[in-house]
Amino acid sequence: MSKRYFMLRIDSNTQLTEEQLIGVIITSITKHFGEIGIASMNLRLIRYDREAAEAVVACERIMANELLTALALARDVDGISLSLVVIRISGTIKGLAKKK
Amino acid sequence: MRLTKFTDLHVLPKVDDIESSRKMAESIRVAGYRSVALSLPTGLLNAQARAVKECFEKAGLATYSRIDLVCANRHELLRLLRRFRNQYDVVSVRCANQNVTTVACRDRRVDVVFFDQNRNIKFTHTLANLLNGALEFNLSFLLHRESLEAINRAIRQTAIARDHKIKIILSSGCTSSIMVRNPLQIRAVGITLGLTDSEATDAISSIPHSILQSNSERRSSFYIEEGVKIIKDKRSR
Repeated sequence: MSKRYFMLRIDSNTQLTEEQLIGVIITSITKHFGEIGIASMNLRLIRYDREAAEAVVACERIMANELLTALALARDVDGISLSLVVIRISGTIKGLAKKK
Repeated sequence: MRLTKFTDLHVLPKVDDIESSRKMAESIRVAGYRSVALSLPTGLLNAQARAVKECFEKAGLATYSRIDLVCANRHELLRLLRRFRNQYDVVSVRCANQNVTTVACRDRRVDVVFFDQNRNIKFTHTLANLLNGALEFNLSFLLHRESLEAINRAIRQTAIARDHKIKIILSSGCTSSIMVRNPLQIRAVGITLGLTDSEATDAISSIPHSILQSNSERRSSFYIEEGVKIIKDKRSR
């Protein structure tokens, strides 16, 4: 199955840990699309740069819209307000670096 | 390849905090928008409004003015429409009660109506039949605590609007930089609400753009009335 890779910018007052980041994404997907949604998404955290507040996540191509929705509706984690803004989308990890 | 110009038709900057407005403008530009409609309080001093507008213009965004009318009754709405229609690029009505909603849907001076998803005002087929403007969905309402109920209501409203071929607009309704989302994320929310791919793209690009274009044309000195405008000035002969 082909994949989609998303580069995210994490906008929040404090730096998130990797567990918090993956936690907020999974919570939002489960809340809006259920456990079948998250299972069929095959979500993976590829990279997380805590200093730059950027991350790369991957999911199945057919579930890309659902992941985008879940990222848009993610609001807070452990009382920390945040926004997950998608900067780039690509079919390959290499493509994320290439795209302007 | 056609480059889509995304427009956020509902941005509510904090007028007393210029630094926050600057940060918000930068976030909106980085997210991929080209133009925004700013909703500023009507009682604001001109200098303050200009300072906020400048923040967005300096960030490279085309900036338009918008007014959100919140009225208690139909008389107040009609009075405010008479007063403000010609001063703003976009006139929208926040539907807070049933009487105002009916008048707002029927009136041709209203460009956009939006429902407070946290209040129980129903968008029915009767209202959809009356509606002349566009129906707007704000992401900010869906980010509320009881968001699932709000999403459910928005899905039902989208289905009714699509049945009646009503123009739908997707906006962020953001009040701070933390509420800014990429247009593709807003588009994805639109698809989740029940729009098709092309309808969702139009809802954040061509539909808001066409409203801004037609209203700026209407506000120009060459405009006489619908279908009539001055194409050659006496002085330019």
